[in-house]
Amino acid sequence: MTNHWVDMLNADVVLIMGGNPAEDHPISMNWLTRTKERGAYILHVDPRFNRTSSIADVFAKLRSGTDIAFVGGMINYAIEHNRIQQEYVREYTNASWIVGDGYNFADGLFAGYDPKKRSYDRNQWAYALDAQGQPRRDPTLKHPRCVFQLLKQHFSRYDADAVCSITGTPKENYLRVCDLYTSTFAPDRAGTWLYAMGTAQHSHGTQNIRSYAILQLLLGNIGVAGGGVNAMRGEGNVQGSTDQGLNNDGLPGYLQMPIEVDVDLKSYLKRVTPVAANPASANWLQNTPKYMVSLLKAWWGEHATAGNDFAFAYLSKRGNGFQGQGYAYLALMHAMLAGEIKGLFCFGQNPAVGGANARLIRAALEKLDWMVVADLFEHETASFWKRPGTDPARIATEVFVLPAASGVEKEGSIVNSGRWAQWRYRAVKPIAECRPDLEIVNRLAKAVKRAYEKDGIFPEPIRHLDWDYGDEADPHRVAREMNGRYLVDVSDKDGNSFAAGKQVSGFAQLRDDGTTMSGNWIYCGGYTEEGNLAARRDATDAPNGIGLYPKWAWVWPMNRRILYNRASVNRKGEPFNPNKWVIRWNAEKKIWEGDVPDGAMPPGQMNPFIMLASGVGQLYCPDLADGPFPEHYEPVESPVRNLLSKTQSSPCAQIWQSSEFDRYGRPDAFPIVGTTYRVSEHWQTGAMSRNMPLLVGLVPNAFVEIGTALAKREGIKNGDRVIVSSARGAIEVYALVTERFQPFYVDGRLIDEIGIPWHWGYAGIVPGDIANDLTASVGDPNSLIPETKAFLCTIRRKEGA
Amino acid sequence: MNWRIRLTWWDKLLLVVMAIGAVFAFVRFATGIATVANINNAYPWGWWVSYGIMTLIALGGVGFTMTGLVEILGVHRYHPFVRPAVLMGLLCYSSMVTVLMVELGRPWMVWMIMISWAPTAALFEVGWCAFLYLTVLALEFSQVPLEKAGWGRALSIVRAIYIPIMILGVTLSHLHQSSLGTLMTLIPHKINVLWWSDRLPLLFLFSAVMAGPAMAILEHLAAARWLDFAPRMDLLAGLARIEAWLVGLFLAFQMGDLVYRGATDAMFSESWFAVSFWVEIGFGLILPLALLVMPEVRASRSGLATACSLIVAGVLLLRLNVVVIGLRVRHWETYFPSIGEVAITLGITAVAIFVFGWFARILPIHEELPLPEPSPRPAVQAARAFRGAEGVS
Amino acid sequence: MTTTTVIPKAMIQDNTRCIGCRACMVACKSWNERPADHTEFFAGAGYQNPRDLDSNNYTLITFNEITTGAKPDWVFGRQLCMHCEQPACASACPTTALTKTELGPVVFDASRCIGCRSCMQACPFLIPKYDYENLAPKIHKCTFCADRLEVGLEPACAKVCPTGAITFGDRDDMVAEAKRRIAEAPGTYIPEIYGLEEVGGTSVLHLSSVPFEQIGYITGLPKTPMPNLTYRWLRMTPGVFGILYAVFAALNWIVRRRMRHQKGEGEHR
Repeated sequence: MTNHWVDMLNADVVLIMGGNPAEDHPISMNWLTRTKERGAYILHVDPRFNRTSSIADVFAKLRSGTDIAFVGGMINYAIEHNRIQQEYVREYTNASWIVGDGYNFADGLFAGYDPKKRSYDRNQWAYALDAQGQPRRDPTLKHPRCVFQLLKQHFSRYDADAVCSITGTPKENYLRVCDLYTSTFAPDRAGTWLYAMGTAQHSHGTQNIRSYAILQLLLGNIGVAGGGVNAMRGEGNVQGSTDQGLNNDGLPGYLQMPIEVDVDLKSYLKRVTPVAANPASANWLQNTPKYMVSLLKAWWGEHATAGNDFAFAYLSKRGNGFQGQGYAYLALMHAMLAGEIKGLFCFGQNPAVGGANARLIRAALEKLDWMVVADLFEHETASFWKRPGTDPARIATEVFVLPAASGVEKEGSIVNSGRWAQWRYRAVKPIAECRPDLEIVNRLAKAVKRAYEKDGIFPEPIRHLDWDYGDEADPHRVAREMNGRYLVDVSDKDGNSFAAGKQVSGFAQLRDDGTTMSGNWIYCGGYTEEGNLAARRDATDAPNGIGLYPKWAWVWPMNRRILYNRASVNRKGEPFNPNKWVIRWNAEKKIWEGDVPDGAMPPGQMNPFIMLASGVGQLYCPDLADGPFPEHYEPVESPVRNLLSKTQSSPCAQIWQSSEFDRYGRPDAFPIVGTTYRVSEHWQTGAMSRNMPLLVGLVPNAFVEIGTALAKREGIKNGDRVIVSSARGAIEVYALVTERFQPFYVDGRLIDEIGIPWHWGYAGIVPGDIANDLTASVGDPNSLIPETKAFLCTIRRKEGA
Repeated sequence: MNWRIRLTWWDKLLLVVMAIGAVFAFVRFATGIATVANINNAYPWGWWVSYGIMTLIALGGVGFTMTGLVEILGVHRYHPFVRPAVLMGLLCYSSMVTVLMVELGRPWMVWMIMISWAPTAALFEVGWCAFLYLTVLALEFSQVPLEKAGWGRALSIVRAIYIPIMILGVTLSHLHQSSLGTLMTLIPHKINVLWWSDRLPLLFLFSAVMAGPAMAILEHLAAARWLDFAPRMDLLAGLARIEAWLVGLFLAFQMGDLVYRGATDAMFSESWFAVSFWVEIGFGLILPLALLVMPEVRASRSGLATACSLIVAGVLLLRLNVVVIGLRVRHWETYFPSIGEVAITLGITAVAIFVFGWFARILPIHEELPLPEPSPRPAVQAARAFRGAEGVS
Repeated sequence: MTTTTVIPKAMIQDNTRCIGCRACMVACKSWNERPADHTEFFAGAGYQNPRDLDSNNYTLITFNEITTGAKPDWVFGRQLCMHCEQPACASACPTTALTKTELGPVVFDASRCIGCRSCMQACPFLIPKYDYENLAPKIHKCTFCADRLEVGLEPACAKVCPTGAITFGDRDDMVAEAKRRIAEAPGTYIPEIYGLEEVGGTSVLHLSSVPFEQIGYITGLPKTPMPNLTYRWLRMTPGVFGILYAVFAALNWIVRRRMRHQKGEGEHR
């Protein structure tokens, strides 16, 4: 999140789209209930009326996969009704920047598209540069090629009628949402945008989020109290896991993963360190070298020196991946299926149930030589070799199951969606031989190191790994390393000196000469000489009273609670909304008051979006794989043609077709839109929750929710057993018939949509068929996240049931 | 005193019914109520309470009704009915206590009522009252075996206290018979409007009083048949006329109360409640009243038996309606007595009937009635035994 | 001598804030150590399980799909013991196994129970449930976490509710708060506090956005406390006893005197 959970209290309008917080983040509902009490409106946009809708003021239904049409229409509405926060947009976004002549858009395609490679040449989208090599600008926003005008033109096709005929939203509801939400353009009103997997898990998921960002920028809602683009993370500590670089394309602190062409540290840093677009851009990531070197020092300690490129050669470089498709989830599973992956460490994950196209995944698991599972229960992945319909004798995989400790049985921090790192103590000792993950990894690493002491191919990276977290791994040591420390006595330009071994107090102190180390630069400042700041529990609010709670736990970066908060003040440092100010410049004392300012420099010309090379919010973003503007495309499997352009689905989506499991359905055989979602009572693949008798008692069996009209047509009654099938598989579940799931009127006909909670598998107290057997191996071009939220399927009643 | 009798086919049948009931009762205690009974959370009271407790108490009211008629209202010609009535009362109340032991979830704790003080609980009042009344009945009836056994000293003690305890018994009966109705006044919103009334205590009391003569008549007819003597049809006709008045007044009272409460619409509604109501009123009151007002019926054994059986059935139906059938529950909730519930109550009732028949053959219960003519064959005379089995009517 | 006044507690169940997550049900079963249910599919509209309160579930969230106009709506209701100010169950119990405590909870003492189930008949809200399959069965109902209240804690359900649908505090404060919420947001609530006046007032006050009968509540209950209905008859017992005894004794005396005269006369016949 750019903001955080408590900040919901400051919103005047809350829009929830592609998410169901009442279901999946019930604790957050505390904040939403209280903000509603204060008079805020809650708007819920979703295919189905669910538990969040029950407390919303306005519910607008939306066909899965048409988010960009919906939000594009809101952008159009905002521009048409002049609901733009003018000063904000002019000063803090790239609205005034002029785009070069290479850019154009027609028939659903941007300039530079290569149909064979299914990718764009993004150089075509470059800005028009002036003599100094900086982007030209028109502060009046009237230049026909300025970003604002191009934006306006692009979304002029998204009028309410066009939008509603795509999304199937009743027009009256749609306009009410537009009206209520765009009212937050006023400087004294803020709108917050909440979303989750319903937004992200699409073949245009990244662009979905881009559309939210654009709208929020136009309304001046980024960096302010009660605003922001706020992802409700899908797992308890997924924020922490991405922060630590567990994704295949990142290093800790969201540093970029080196790739094959990065032959040395210098060329890597040259490639990844952004260059400021203009002098007004603080371009914080120009400091990347300091963070990278400090990271390398953390990993290889004394073996990383200026002489050996700080052991950059020890770091693995990412190749092109399986079939050149990278190393994300879908590619991994296909590689596994093709027999290219010998072993798998599967920690706290259950791909046999949770991954898209799950039948493919289970078949892929059979090809492994070995697998190590660390989890609390023997779930579907751990027991794939003895799943129903499988003869264990024909599977050669050796499976190890390591019992892991649960969240309350270990000490450490968890980072919530709002970036709050909250330290937790161990409440109970782990039962039997269960061990915390940290301990498991610690022993594993030590064992690997011991093995590499004897021999090994290219053993240095392992042998020289600076690994010392104690005999029983101490989370404090890890946290301290993440923060980082001085390795030699140093003094800075202000004459302060710091002794070797002292913790650094912030990433501004990290250096690129090997004198500092830090395991994760964004966590710098979290465990300093003051102590473990994530363990603080002081509930005193800051003087500006907007729920910052600066002494409760610790937030990255640098305990800054609202990101980009310089955008909440004008060039003089005066808040746009004095009633809910985030930061303000005290001209007498020459300091900032309030939240930690996002960039400590005094107010003036420096732009607020300091993490972007441009320094300004990107209405137009030439850096993404599938376009500088979001454009509505139908999901890869869709029952209707794209009413907006000739390009049916995302032209850059990763559509796997290499295996027998990669089959796609057409609307004549599979006329119903299928989606997946969750229930409060179960968690993810049910690996834990379907082993809890009390929870199983509440929601025991797998089911599909279908509308009353569809049920009547198919002769299905509530509680009947039904078969739901897609081109990839079929499952048998209970049917829950409800009024809350209505068909969508699209392109002159009614389209049905059904939804299946994906919590069930063949393990646990009550087994059930796996919803993800129906979903496809289709990935977003940027994040490669699978499109599990929109696919085609059909339904029929089970005979003789 | 000779306690032995020869068992007739009826006795043997009763023993079989008792045995079946005992088996179910054993299962109830060994495995819990749920195994044998259908009572559930929506219907916590079912056949056991409505028949085994409420109806048996109401029918046991024959004791105080006949005693009151003779000793307090002074209608002496019905004196021959008192002893059988007291025995029937004693046996009904004893059976009720036995059913209670099966019906209660924790019967071993029943003594807790005796050491509690719960003045707002109707069952507290009923519990104490019934316990005291059972003692009274036992004392009243003890005269018969004491007399037969010739224990003069004990007999004189009992006779000495007879008047006060008899009056106590009649008083206690009034109290607890009406308290059973008071019990159900607690739930006006749960009982269908056809039956809930502010006057439920009076209704239940009146119903028990009405049951008295009917029970007495039925007992007399059955005893005459099985003990082989000519029934006193003159007395029966008189009792029947009293009974006709009681039924008529009760019908008027019940209907009047309904009208007063504005429940007449409900009587004609299309619901199972209305059906059950009309079955109760029709078969339990209107039909027997129509029969009893006819002198031919009052003079006919089968007529009297029919009418009085219907009245007894009506008494049972009233309690069934108030306690079970008329209960408002959620639409998916049902109850129907299980075989186990019925078997146990039938078994207990069989015990009562058996004991009554047994006592009637060995004790001077019906002594004031003309005994059968002595048989002309002296050989048979010596072995004085129950003759029903020989087919003599 | 000092006296400590015990301030009675109460709970607000605000259904407009309820999201039907059922943390309250799980916390209640956990605290009261009730076994898990074996269910199949669902027992009500939406995800409801089980269908009704029972000996293993002392509280229940009902799922109600209501259509207001053409708009679908999903409204949640909650069932639990209302802990009446003048409980019918306590009044009907012949062994005083159920009692209303000063703090508010109506508590059940199994050691006094004979299993007559009068309380089940008496309760206007159909709350007490019985475990008939047990050899030593007991009455089961919400305890208002009386043991937790004793040590100054709040009930388990109130503690875990994530949205603040369950609020717990002194009864007077809760009544005032419920009224305040209705007054300040009349469009959100129907102007009715369920449990404020029903059967003489209870310790659980429910608020709702739709009429209560639409979400599974029992409505149409009288405002008078239930115990009055039986007590107005029962308290006459001593008096009636005395009068009846006297009347019957008098009548009997007259009858015996007449009999003696008749006998006397008869002997002369």
